[in-house]
Amino acid sequence: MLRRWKSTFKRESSRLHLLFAGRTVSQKRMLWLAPLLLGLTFVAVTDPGVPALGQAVGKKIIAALKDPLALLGQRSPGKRSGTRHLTKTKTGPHERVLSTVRERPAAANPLLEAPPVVLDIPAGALAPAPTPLPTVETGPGVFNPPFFTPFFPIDFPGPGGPSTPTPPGSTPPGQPPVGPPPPGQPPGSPSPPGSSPPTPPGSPPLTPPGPPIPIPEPATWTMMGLGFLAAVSARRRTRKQRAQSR
Amino acid sequence: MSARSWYFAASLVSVLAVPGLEAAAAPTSRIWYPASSYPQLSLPDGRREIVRSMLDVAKPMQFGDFVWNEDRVPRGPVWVRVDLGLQLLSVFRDGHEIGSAVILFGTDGKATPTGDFTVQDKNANYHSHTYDAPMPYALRLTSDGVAIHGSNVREGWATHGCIGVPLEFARRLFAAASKGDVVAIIAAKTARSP
Repeated sequence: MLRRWKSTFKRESSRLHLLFAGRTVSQKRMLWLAPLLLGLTFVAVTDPGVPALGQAVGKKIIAALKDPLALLGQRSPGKRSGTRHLTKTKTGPHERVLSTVRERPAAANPLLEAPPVVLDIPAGALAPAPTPLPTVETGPGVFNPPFFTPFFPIDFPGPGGPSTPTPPGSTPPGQPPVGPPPPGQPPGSPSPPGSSPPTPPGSPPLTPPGPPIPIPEPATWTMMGLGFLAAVSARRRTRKQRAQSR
Repeated sequence: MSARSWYFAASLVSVLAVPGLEAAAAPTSRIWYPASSYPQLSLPDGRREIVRSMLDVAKPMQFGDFVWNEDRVPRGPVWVRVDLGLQLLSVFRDGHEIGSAVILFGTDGKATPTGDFTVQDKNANYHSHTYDAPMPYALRLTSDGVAIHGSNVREGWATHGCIGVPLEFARRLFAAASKGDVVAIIAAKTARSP
């Protein structure tokens, strides 16, 4: 029996060798797959012809498969828990740009802290009230600027007396005589900018006292100088090192 | 480029790989039902949709996870099933499930409406004026603004009535769905097998 099987196997293997001889690898694979494909085709063709068998197989398969809802339940992360869930709500746009306005603590202002100056102005010393300007007519066809304000030249008298028009070069009564005007300046002209205005006696100065702060400050100058020196020294050092290395 | 540089680059890429994209890139296997006995899923209005195949997801999905596989799925009508009880959204095309994701939905006071809806409008770059929030790949379902859109799906979070899905999933769903497609939102207690 064993001998017969051996001889049969040898004979068949020699036939197979003849069958596969001289063929490429893909052709050999096709030859191996051909019986499998034939068998599958036979099953596919004969299955519709045997509806009872097909239905039975289908029922077995569907029994083996899971219901779609069971599959969904299998992949579900679970029901939502009873805890309160977060909802991200924006209340409105939030600007994150820094403000350009710098706020500083209010510095001591001598003008605000000083007691108010009570001016002793005699009655009738004030200049007569200026005649009112004619009213601006409004209506169609008349140009009426929206921010128009009439300009009144207000002449405020000083404490020395009423403000009266004085001829050039003369001295108003109650005021110390003023020397000749500086050369190049017409007499009676206002004081140049920068000169301190006349202040009444006993009243606080209008400008805060103290020397003007130089800009840049001395500390800045010092830092600049130190940096410059450091840069020069570093450059000299590198030059020395290069020279020594050569 | 030396071997060490190549190794460093490869390790960097592996570290920076997004888990969601990695999950989406791996094709999900499919469970095919025999043509003789397709199972059915019922919709809230009583209609039934046959299921030809389902994606095979063996383990529970986490918040932010999704699967998508439309290989060998023919063209056909698309419908979306949103199960609030399971916190899952499934997309079907021609009876085949092509995608599924864990969702966020409305909470107390702003609950997600249930029932059968249709996609009324599509907007890939929608920005809500009510909540001042981006809602990418929005599929609007109701006239008062309830939509399916891309969202940061995290556990413990909720929406104001919309259905939030992961952004990449929202992009794919936006491409697959069109105006008029059915969206069935099933309440937590009424989800039943046919």
